[in-house]
Amino acid sequence: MHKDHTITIDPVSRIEGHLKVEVTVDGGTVKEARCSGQLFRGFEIILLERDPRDAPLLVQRVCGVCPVVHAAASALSVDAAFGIADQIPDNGRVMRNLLLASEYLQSHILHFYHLAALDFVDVAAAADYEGPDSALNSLRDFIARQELAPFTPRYEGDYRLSKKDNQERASHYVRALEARRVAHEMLAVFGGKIPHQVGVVAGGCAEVPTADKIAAFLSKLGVLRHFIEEIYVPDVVAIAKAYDDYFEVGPGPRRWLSYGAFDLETAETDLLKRKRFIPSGRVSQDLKLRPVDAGRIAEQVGHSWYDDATSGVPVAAAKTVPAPDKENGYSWLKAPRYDGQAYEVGPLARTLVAYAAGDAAVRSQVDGLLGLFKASPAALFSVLGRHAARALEAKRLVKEMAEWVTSLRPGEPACEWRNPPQSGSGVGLTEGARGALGHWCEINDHKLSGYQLVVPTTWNASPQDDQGQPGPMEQALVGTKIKDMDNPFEVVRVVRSFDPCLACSVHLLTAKGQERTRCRVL
Amino acid sequence: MPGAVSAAVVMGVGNLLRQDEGVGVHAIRALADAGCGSAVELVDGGTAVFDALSSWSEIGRLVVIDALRGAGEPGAILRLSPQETEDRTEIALSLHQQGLLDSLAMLRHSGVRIGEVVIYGVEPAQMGWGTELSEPVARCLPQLVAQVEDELDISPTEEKQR
Repeated sequence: MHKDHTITIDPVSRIEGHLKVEVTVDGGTVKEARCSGQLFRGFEIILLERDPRDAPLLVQRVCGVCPVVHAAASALSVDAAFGIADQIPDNGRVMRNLLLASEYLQSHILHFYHLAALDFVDVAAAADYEGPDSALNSLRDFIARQELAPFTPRYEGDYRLSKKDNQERASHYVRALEARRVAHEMLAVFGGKIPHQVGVVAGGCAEVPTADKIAAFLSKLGVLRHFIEEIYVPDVVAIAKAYDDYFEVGPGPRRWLSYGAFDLETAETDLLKRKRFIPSGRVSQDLKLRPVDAGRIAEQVGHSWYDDATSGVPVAAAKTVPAPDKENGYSWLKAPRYDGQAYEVGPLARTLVAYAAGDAAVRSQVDGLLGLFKASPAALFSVLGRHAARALEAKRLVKEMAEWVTSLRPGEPACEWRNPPQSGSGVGLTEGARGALGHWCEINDHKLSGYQLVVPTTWNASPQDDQGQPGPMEQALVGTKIKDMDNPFEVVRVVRSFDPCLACSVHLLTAKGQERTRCRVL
Repeated sequence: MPGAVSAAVVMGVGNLLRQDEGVGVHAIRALADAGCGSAVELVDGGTAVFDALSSWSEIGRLVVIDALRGAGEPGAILRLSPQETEDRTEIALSLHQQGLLDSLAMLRHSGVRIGEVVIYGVEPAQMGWGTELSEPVARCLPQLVAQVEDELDISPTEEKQR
């Protein structure tokens, strides 16, 4: 009965490049996993020879879900190259935080309700709904007309909520769409427009806050706060109760890294030492805080389609030399490593780092959650741990944003406008919704002469490195038990928990590569 | 919080950094330059179709402009309905097909009323890294603008001449 099977998730993604996940299953357990992908290599070509101030505006076009964080990281790197990292006016610093935090809220809500929850919630339960809920009536009518997009095709079987609970969550799916709209309206208040805002610029923010804008932002924030506290967090807890075995599925490398995000001051020019709402640091399962030194980050290409001679070079000096025919290559992603080790990034990493750093709000949240499930911190190293960390982070942020927006000073400057220097270089390290994001820029003759990015998905979905050490998502998949090869819920639940942000199709293949079934994963 | 109501919206989608992949966004700029912005809502949807439209509660007619494989020679323009992109599997809206159809369904689930949807697809020639359109695709923009003006029965050029 030891028949090997390969499950391949092979996507077409319009958002964050292409990612393919392939797992080999033996005796019902994942033995090996391979993530392969393509990323924005070659992207720097567009930026070269341009005014460095173009970079924040251009880079955010790489992603429609997370444009703001690319603008934010880019602006931080250009600030540093201009030598004005410590001169950003408070208004500019705070508005950058508000823009980035608004993006976190819409992205976390999108991920949970519109991408991940469908692996747990049976939307079809709306088919025989009778009652006053307009969202459910609308869903029921769509289902009656056989209009099932975007809910099908999907896996069948392991849906565990009661009909009433499924219906309630299906209704929240629709309410979450509205919540995201409000988050985008918040982004437009200080960002001018969305998608692809124009607020974050080198030196600060382009907008000058007014009392009207602050009031508008606050009222929208209230809507989000209600949704997150009364609907999002309770929904995650409800799903965790029904699927509590997922506190033990998908632990990953048990090493986490955060650059920290949301500057609370700008006097410190070393971003990793700067006082930030989300702290920087590294932890392993002992939950002891260790510092991050950006100089120890290097990308390895042992199993990536790049020239081996470029492997392990620190990012600032890195070269990208494609080698598409490389025999042992299987990904266009490089493998970022810290001191040669694979690290998971994202909301769980940030939460564990903040927990280890003694952040009182995080400790109280996390201890409360663990108490509810009578679980030890090790339960966080899991599929459900990632979902919970994301929701709790949204709850902390939405509360803090009210403090930030009321600290803005109407009419006062928000930007330190400067012309590009003759030469310079800078590093912008921050955290997007999905994890650690770094931009490296170099200026020569007043123009960009070099640009590099290392993005969250490269950390999480990286392939094996020079030593054959699998990437975090690969490690999280290995050991996962698959109950039903035709409906491999477990694989997509593990992959989704990292929020890789992709729409893809799943092929189930036999060991010889024969296709069994094909399903699309939303 | 009720959203905006518009009789007609033209949305260009695509990635500005992938040359012809961004033709939809370039088309929106060309329509704006032609003075169409006073007659219809022009939307730069970038790579976030759903988000770009979620501030509306009602859209009478929606015109989507995107790169489209299967339209013909590079720069060829094809007009089709959303159903046709689903039915005709040989055609692929660059990277956005699934995103577009799913997004329209999600918008409708969230109560946004959308009337007729028409897609204008442009066959891409180059989808490498770059912010410039290829020559054949850039050349098709005036015709594309004219077709969209006809579609929506707007003639901004007359207004401009006055």
